[in-house]
Amino acid sequence: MARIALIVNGSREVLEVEENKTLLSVLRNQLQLTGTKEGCGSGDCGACTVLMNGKAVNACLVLAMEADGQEITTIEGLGQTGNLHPLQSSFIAHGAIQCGFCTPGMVLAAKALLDENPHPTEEEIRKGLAGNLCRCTGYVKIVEAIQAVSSEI
Amino acid sequence: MIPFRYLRPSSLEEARDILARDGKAKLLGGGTDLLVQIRAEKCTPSCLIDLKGISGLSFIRSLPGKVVIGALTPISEICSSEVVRLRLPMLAQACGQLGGVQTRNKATLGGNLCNASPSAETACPLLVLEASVTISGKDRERTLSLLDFFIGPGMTALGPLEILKEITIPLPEGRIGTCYQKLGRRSAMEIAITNVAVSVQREGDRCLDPRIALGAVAPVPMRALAAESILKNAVWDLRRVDEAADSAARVCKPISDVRASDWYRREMVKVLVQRALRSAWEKAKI
Repeated sequence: MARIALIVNGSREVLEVEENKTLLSVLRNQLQLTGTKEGCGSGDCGACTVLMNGKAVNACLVLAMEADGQEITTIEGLGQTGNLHPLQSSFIAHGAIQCGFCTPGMVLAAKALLDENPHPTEEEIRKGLAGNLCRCTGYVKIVEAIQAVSSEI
Repeated sequence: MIPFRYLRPSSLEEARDILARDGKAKLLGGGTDLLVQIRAEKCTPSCLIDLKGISGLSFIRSLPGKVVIGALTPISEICSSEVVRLRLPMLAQACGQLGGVQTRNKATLGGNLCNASPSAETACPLLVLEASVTISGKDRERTLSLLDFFIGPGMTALGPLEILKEITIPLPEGRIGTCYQKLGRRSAMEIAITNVAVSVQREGDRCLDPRIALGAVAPVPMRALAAESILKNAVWDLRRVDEAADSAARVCKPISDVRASDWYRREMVKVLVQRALRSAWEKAKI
């Protein structure tokens, strides 16, 4: 066991963690932030995407110990009921959500993309989201939702 | 996941001390290969030594005649580096095809090389660029050409107490054209079925210093030397390009695995080498 201190969604958290635990496991099981999902556990699906110091990473491949001293943003930090982030509103408005399992990861990957490149081409959007799989939607409406937000920037 | 200890030394000597005490400790870079292997129990370390706590291992330095990149530099930083995009565009291009954004933000150049997959994204471009690696050992540092660094699938020339420190890439001179071609079943998040990197130096209608590297088709990333000698100092013509591509396809030693069969890989070496050579030659015009 070891102690880590990290900033999650703007709040400082001090936690005792087992050294082999992933950030994903700690977010979900110790901080009860279950918006971040486990789709594959091997960094292939992107459902566990969070922002670490503003950069999109797969939380299943980040050890909790590696997150010590870092700033983490999860989907809960992006928007809340009644106070949605523009990306969240746009996803809803464009029908970009079916089962919703990929959505938190998609939204955070989209945020990371737009933070770096506010006006991406369609190809750049698809490339920026290449690490996020969706089994339901076929991606078209996800891309449209992101384009809509981009056009407002 | 199996239990393991996590240690974060603040110097290479500290890291070496841990390695010396514990033969089952593994070095951790970005973890995007290692953690996957641990989860699949293909690797069962007692302890992970996180190198990210050691300062001075993550950098991209532009020096006269060369670029030096620290082993712990994230792949995403290499993709977006101005000096790499300008002077080593093939490396930036290959890095941009490694995994997806999330992987690139965490994976490191050193990790990609030390994992030593025959299909490693950065291997072929760096072999063509004739990069060398600087390795930190107990009492000395040594430099090795990258070609000598890979000794087998997943195996490098690193000794048990050695740590890869930095990668030195000589800057190409003259009218150089380069091209990286990766073939996969999909356009991202893919391990190459076959990947190829090529560099040609153009002088008039002659090709000087052709370099061809093949990945995912041999136990290690390799240079196709016989193919190179077909083109070397010769007048460029497509017949010779075909001959070189043919030669490269003949010398590689692909295996069949879950991604592709050996005969298909061999066919694709020929196709990718042709494409890469033609593209590199065109780029050398400018």
